[in-house]
Amino acid sequence: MKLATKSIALLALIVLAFVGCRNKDTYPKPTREFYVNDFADTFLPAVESTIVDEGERLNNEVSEDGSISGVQIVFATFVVENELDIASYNLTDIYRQWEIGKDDMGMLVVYFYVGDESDSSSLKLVETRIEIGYAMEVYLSPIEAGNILDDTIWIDEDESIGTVHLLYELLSVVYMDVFEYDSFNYDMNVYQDYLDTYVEYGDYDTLWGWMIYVVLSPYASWWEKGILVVIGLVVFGLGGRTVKNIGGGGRSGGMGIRRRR
Amino acid sequence: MKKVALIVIGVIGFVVVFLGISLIAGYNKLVDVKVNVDFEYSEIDRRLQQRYDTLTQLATAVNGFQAHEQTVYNMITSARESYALAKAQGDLQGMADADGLMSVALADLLVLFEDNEPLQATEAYGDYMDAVWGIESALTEARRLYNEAVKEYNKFVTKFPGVLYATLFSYTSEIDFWEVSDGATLIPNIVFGGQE
Repeated sequence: MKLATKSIALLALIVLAFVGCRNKDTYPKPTREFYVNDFADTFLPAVESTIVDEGERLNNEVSEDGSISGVQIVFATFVVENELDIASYNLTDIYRQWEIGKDDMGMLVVYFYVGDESDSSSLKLVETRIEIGYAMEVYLSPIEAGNILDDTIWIDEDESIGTVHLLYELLSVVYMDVFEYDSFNYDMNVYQDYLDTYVEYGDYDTLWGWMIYVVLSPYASWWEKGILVVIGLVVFGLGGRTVKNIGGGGRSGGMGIRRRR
Repeated sequence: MKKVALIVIGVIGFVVVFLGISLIAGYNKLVDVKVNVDFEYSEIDRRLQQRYDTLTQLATAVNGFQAHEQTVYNMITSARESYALAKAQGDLQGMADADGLMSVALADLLVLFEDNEPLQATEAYGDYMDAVWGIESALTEARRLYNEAVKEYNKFVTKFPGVLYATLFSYTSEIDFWEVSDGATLIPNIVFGGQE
């Protein structure tokens, strides 16, 4: 009897597994950082860092009545051989595959570049698009999105500044219209200074030296080894950037705007 | 003897469990694909309402500069009435035809815009074009997603074993696609002051 029960359970599991097996992904999966998917490799590390930091902060924001949370703004860049190839990218499909924003409260910003993929300096930005999640349509119309593109990435000569300017303008819409902040202030001159002084990896020489010392030296104390273990867990396993950000299950329906050069 | 009885019970048990799981999974899948069709249908309906509002607003913007404008306005109104009537009658093809008629009215309206230099010079012109591009892009997606949902549904209810579930649970055998005339599904190629 025991054998019969086990067999039935096993076969039932096999049937369920077959029923549940599906894989319909067409586009690349989002990166671990989720908020920035720089497939064209054109964003500066400082810009990526800003997008991720602001993205995580926004994702944790909750409206006063608790009804709205998990808003996500995601950036992506793609390289195409020529402008006609842009038509092969369906932003609604990408948005739905990545499931941006909880309760459809999200935006997907996509840059399309033409040029040699192996040489990022040769890439030319030819089209920028914003896809707006279903629920976000109430707060951001195509007219407003178009004006934001015109005032940021489309006029700023420096793409990095333009991108962050665009991010802040979109954040401004979300914080003020969705979360009803009185104001949302930012200063692009301050950001320019930050960009100029940004050091990607910090003082790694010293850090590496200390790590080698702790690992190899017989004089390293136990508390130093403990700190190293904690850092190892944070970097490789438990917290900080290594925690994978994921989409909130959102969908969009093609509403948005584009600008072409 | 006891062993044979156990095997028979096991086989019967397996068949019952298999059929039970298949029925549950099949019914759930049937509900999923039908709900998806209904959702995408409601999206087309919502987008068409949005487009009607947008076009009415645009037609008002060109009001009075040409006699031809009244014709376009009448086309929009007529398309809207045809759509409402077809919807009330549950005539999907009639609704799609009204959708196509509205696309023709939009194309005519855009021609009026292009011919109207004073209007093009206004700041609002770019906004109008953004509104049109946004709604047409969304409507194109709504049509595509509806047809994909219908395709998924039709495939399921006509293939084995979906056909059994559809018959068993009295679901419609097939649903019509949203078919509008060629060209009506294209997003207008709108020029934004030198930039497309």
